Amino acid sequence: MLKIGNKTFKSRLMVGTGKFSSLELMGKTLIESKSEIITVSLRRIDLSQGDRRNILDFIPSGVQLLPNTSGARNADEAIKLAKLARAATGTNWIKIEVVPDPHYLLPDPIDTLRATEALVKDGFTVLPYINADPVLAKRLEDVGAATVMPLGSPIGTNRGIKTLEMLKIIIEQARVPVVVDAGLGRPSDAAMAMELGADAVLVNTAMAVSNNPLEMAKGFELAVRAGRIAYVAGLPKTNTQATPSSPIDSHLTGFLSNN
Amino acid sequence: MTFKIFTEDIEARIKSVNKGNTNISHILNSKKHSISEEEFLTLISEEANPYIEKIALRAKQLTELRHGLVKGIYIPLYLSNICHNDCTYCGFSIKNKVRRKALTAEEISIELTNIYNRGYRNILLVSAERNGFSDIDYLKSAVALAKKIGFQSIASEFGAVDTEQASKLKRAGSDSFVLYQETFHVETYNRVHLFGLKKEYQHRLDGVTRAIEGGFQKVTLGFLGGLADYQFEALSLYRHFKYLQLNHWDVQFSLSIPRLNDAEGAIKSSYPVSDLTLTKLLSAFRISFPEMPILLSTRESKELRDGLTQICVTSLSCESKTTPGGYVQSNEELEQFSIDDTRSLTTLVNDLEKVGLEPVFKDWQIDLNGEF
Repeated sequence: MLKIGNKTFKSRLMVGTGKFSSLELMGKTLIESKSEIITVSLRRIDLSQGDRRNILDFIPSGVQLLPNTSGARNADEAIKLAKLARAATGTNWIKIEVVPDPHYLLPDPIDTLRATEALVKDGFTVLPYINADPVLAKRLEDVGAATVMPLGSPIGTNRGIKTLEMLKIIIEQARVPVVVDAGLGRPSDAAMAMELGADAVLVNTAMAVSNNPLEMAKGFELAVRAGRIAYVAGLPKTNTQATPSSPIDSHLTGFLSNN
Repeated sequence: MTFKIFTEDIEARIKSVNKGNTNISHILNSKKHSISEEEFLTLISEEANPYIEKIALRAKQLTELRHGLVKGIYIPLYLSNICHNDCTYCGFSIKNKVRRKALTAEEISIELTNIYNRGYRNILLVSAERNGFSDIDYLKSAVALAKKIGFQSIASEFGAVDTEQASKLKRAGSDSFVLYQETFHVETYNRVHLFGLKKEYQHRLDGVTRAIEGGFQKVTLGFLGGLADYQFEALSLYRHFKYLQLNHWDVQFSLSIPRLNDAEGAIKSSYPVSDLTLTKLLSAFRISFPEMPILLSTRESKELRDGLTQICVTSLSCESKTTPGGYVQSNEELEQFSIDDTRSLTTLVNDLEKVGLEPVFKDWQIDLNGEF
C-alpha cells in the first residue's frame, strides 16, 4: 500500500486532468486508470460558480483530490493558490508547482522549498514537483514534504526517463514516497520508474492526447502494477554473458563431494 | 542594449537561405528542441507551399503535445476609439470622420457585467491611443473594474506604454499585455504611420521591453499581415521573439498575426497574406516555438478559424465587437474593422466539441494578478 501523509492507497498511479479533449472523456479516463489521487489546477477551477461546466464535477467521487499550484511563478503565488485551493475544495493536500520558466516548464527549486516549508507549517500535506535533484529532495523532506515528485523529463514532452541517475539517488536516499512526475510518455516508462523503486508515478499528457485515452489509462494502470510487482519481487541481475535458463548441471562443483 | 531591425540584413538573410525542398522532411522530423533560423526560413519560403499539409501535421502534433486538446476562449472589449494617431490602415485614425466615443466608467461596468454573465472569464481590453497615453488612469480604472467584476485574466492592448504606465496596469490587475509592431519594415512603417506617438518605430518596438520592465510576465506580439512582405515580417518577428526569450527567460510570449481587412477609410493591402500563407506562417512559428500560445481573432472566417484551431491556434476570441462597448449598446458605425466569424458562443463551443476540442473559459486565477 502506498502511504502518503496519514492516508493509504491501493493505486500507485496518479493522474492529471489537463489537456483532455472533453471533460467527459477526462472523467472516464480517470475511472479507467483506477487512480485514487487526481491532480487538478486551481486555475482551471471556476470558483465563481458560473453556469459553465466545472472541472471538479467530472472527477470521480471518493478519490483524493490533489489541487496544484500551476501558474504560480514564485513561492508567494504558490502559497496564495494553495490557500485558495483549500478553501475551494476542502482538502489540505497540495501539489506545489512553482514554474517561472514558460518554455521547458521547469520548476524553481528555491521557491518550491520556501513554499513547501511555509505550507507544511500551515497544516498542508505538501507534494512538491521538482527537478530530479537529490539534495533538493532531502531538503524538502527535512522541511516536512509528504512526498517528493521529481520529473523524468520536461513536462508534456513524453520523452520518458531522462533523469535516470539522479532518480536512482533520490529513491535510494528518500524517507518519504518518491513519485516520478512528468515526461512519462508510454506505459513502459511508468513500469521502468516503478522497477527503479519509485513509490508512484503521475501521468497526464500521455493519456490526454493519446488516440484512445481510455485504453492508454488501462495500459498505464497495468504497467504501474507490473513494475511494482517486479520491484518487490527483486529484479534479476543483468549479465553480459548468456546463462542457460534450465541448467544442465545445477551443481557445477558437485564432483567435489562425490567421494 | 535594445533590439533593432536591420532591413538590409533581414532581406539578405531571406535571399541567402537554401530553400531546397529536400530539407522540409528533414526539418519536420527534427528531434531537436527547436529548429534553427535557417530552417524556419525554409518552412516559410514559397518553395515550401506544396508541403503545407506535412508542415501543418507537424505543427498539430506539437500543439497537441504541449497544449493538449483544450482551446482558450476570450472576448475583446473596446473602451475608446478616440485616437491621436494617424495610421493609414486603421478605422480609428484621427483623420477619419467617424463618431468618437470613450465609454464612461458606468458604461464599462455595464458592458463588462453583460460579458461576464455570458460566461466569459478571460477579457482583452482594447483602447485607441489618446494623446500620448495621457489617459492611463482611465485605462487603469477599466482594468480594476474588470478585476472587481470577476474576470480571471485581463489583457491590455493600449499601445506602446512606458514602464511606469505598464506597472500601473499590472498592479491594477492586468496579467497580460498585447502590442503589435504592425510592420517591422521601417520604410513601410514610416509610410503608414503619419502622425502621433505611434509614428516612432523604435519606440513601438521597445514597447514590449518596457511592458516587461513594468512587471508584465505574459506578452502577446505580432504584426499586421498585409503591410509588407510576409517573409520579412516573419523573420523580424522570429528574431524579436528570440531576443526577448534570451533576455527575459521567465516571460511567456504569445503570437498573433491579424490580417488587414476593410476598415473605414483605410488603405488596401499591398502585400495580401493568403490563407495558405497565414497557415504556413503560424505553423512555422508553432514548430519553432512549441510552447507559444497562438491567438486568432474573429476578423478571420469561421472556416479558417476551425482549420487553424486544429493545427496550431490555442486561443480564440468570440462574439467580438470592435466598437467601443457594443455588447449592450450597438454602435456599428464606430467599428475599427469588420468581423467575419460571427458565431455565437454556443455555436463556437458546439463546433469545438464536435471535433474533440474542449473550450476553456478559465485557465488563470485573478489572485495571481496585481498586488497581494
